[in-house]
Amino acid sequence: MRAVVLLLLLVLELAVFASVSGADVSTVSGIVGYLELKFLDLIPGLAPVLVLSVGMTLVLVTAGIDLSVGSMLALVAAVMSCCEGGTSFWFTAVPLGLLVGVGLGMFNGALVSRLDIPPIVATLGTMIFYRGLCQVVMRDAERAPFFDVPGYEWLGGFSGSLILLGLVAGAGGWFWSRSRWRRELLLVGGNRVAARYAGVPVDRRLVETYAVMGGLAWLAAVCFTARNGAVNASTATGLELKVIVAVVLGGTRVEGGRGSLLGSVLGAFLVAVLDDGLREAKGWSDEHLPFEVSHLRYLLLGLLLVSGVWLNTRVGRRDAD
Amino acid sequence: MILSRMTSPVRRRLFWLVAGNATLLVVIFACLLPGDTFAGAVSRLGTVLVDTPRNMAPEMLAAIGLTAIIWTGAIDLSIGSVVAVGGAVFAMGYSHEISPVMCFAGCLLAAGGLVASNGLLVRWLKIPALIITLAGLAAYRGVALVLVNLGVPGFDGNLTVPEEIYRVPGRDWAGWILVAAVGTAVVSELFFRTPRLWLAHGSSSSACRLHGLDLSRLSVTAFLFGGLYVGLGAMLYVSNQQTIDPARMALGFELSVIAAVVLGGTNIFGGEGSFLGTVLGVLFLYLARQTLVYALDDVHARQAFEGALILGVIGFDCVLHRVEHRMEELK
Repeated sequence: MRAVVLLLLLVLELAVFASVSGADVSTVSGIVGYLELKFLDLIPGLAPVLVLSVGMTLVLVTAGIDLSVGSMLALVAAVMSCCEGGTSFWFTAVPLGLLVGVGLGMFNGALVSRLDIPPIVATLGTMIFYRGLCQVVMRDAERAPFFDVPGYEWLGGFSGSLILLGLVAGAGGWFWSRSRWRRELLLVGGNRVAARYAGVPVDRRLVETYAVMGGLAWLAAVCFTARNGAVNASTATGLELKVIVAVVLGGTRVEGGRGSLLGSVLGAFLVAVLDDGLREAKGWSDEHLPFEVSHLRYLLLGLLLVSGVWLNTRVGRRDAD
Repeated sequence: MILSRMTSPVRRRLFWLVAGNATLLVVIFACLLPGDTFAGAVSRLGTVLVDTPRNMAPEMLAAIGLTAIIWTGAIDLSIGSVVAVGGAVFAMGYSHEISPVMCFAGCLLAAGGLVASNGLLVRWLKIPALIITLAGLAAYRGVALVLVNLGVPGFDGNLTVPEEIYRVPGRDWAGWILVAAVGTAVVSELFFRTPRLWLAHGSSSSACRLHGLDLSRLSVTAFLFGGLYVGLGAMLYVSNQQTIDPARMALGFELSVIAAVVLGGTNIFGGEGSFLGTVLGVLFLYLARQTLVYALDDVHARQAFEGALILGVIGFDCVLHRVEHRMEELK
């Protein structure tokens, strides 16, 4: 049901932004042309948010939260940018980035599970810490070795991004629907004490979840750098909010114990279309609005988040009844 | 009297913070000493201390307001954006040549009103405060930008306020406002019932409900109190700036305020903490930043050190808490 509602919202968003941007959507071929152009541009830009949304779904399911995803992405990309371009990049920077991403995620997991620091506090601290490390690595510079790497730019194009996203969403979905790990995560998020009694290694599962989040931050960094080609110390600032909005819109409860990967994927599409649509609507807004339409992005993100959670709460109450 | 009303983890945190602040002062002094005489270093340390109240007043006031909100088990992540809205209202008033007093009042009311409205939204929508205020973090920034676009003629990204009269509260009165506000908060914690009810609410909602307390009303009172302090903090923040830039104003403000509150011993899930701890937490973070300014030439490393310091202090306390908890279980 939620998937249908999200799809309808997506169609509505596309329709509104199509009319605002002045695209010719009066004929079927016009609509197809508009959608083709839209998705050619949208998919590569969406990739980092979508990849992170998959990881954030897992984290939220365990009743956690990871506010450091933007900083992790930036730090991984910064570390990767320190390596030289060329073919060797694939054997040095890419594995190093994965190692750093998983390590950062495990550090978050250790803070949450071993030291009992509340996830929001722990990841708030690491958000500042990782961003600081990113500044140490990058200084005031912007590095761009990525387009010198053979085949790397392809990952940031439409087909490369689509394949990566398909792999992440497909493998994640398959794993999510069939694995015992998923049930254990739901139990950890739903009732941690019951999970311990049921023999679930709660601390280990939490570290694993945050490590997966770190690994996905690496993948998001690859998608981001393959598209943008450069990285600096303020890369991906504020990305965490978009990711959380996407996941919550998709039906994942912030209190843990329930989540949907499909919902998160659709939520990420909604957020990306909104972002992109507001950018496209600039010409229209200059004529019709007394303020810049891009400022509405923040307002709409906030409204989407509240309405998504409100919907989740109502569904939760109805299920409980 | 203050200490006797605190739980042992909060008392322990106060001890660590007092020791930490004293150590940081010694470190700052040690950093000032090379290349200067002893008397010169003392004089420069004095200058640092004199500027302290003015510089940390906005953060400390917001932190006290947030402490009350966190005590009830809620949180407000939107205070940075709320300050930006306050700045936008101030800019609108200034650009229409409204008197400084009205500009300050508008800024205070706008910021305070938004925090209070967060409380009302939590009550009406029955959605966790974390979500409402996370949404507010984005939405209020948008509101601030739309407001300056609509209300400030010819706005091109920022607005400069050259007249000194518009900066009096943030520069000349900040220390006195801070002393009065901190004093009021500590006295209310000691002698009034409501702050203790906020703590009780955060500690056990079900027990409070059985006791017949109206929890949602209690939460709203905490947000009202928080709104008053955040509003004051916003007024001092805005009037201390020469330029108003709602897109970048107070970015990350909420992070340092939350870090200071948690450093001060307030349990992020509510039910534990003290205003005094928050005051010491803000002071600790401020002195730590000053220490980094004097001790580290590398500007880029400062944020990393600050993050590591916050994590280190909170992690250390959590380990102590965990060990204490296990020892009690063993007994």
